[in-house]
Amino acid sequence: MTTAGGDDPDLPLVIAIGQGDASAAATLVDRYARRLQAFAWRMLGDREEAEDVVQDSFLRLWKHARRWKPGAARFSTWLYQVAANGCRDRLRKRRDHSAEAVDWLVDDTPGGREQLQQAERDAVVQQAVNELPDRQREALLLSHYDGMGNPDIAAVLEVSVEAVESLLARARRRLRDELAPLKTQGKGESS
Amino acid sequence: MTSETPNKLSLSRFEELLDQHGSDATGWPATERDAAQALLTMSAEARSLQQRAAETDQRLSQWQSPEASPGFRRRLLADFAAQQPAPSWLGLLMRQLGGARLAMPAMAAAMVLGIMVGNWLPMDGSSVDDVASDDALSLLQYDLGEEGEW
Repeated sequence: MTTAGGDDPDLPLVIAIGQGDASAAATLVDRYARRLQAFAWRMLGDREEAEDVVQDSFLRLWKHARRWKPGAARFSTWLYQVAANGCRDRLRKRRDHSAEAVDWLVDDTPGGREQLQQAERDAVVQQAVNELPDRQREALLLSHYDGMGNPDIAAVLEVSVEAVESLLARARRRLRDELAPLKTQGKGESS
Repeated sequence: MTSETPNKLSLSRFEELLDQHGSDATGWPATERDAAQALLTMSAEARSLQQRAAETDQRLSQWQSPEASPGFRRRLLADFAAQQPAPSWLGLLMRQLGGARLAMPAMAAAMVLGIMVGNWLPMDGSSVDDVASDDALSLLQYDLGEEGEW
């Protein structure tokens, strides 16, 4: 993925969607909905809200596909921008969501001790990621889970590549410190 | 002139690269990859840093997101369908006729036929057949006569 729109592999689909092609819409949903939902969920920690963000993002696409102008940015960059903005709006509305991480532990799903330990580890990771400043978190999620290169992340966040490198460096340093105890915990539990 | 041996990389720059790009060196700038690899083979400290970064990445990778709720995909596509304008009678007709490729020639032929028939038919009363004209006139008079009383 690059920031130029000229070689955008999604462009034919977006044009077809603008002409009302339902199969093109389905293809694009299959290509991006799951990834966006995972991104939004990691940003918000709430499945329903994450799905609402993705639904809003696609709704904007359905409405604007007819007027899509190729060349400015790649479609995927635009879609992630819309989703990231949606997440930011929701986070602004409810700043205090750190308690949600603990909800996972309350879920008494069958599977025994091992599953509970995994849930605990997930909760620690989730909490550590959630405690990152928004921009650091966005950069990290796009880098680690969506496999985006730093120039693409810069396009989504609308900042310079150097700024992205700085965001990622601070995020990773902090996570390394926060998640280091998990290693020793894991060893202790398994022995 | 290119050097046979990769440029040297300081440990602090190596750590910076780990922080900026993650533990997987395939995503690192190509210009520094060879030097990083050389440092890894020489420095135990570099290997330790790389190991720590890889563990963090692994922890992050284990954090899986939940599946989307059932019907999520259908909901997105229902939104798409709802955004589409209602099809016009012309569109429906074209679809019935097998799409634009088949319907357009048929419609063009119908239009040409319509123009030809229009040209063939008289435009004013002067060319109308006299008998037909007289019949029409008497019929009009008859109607007027009947209705004139009201």
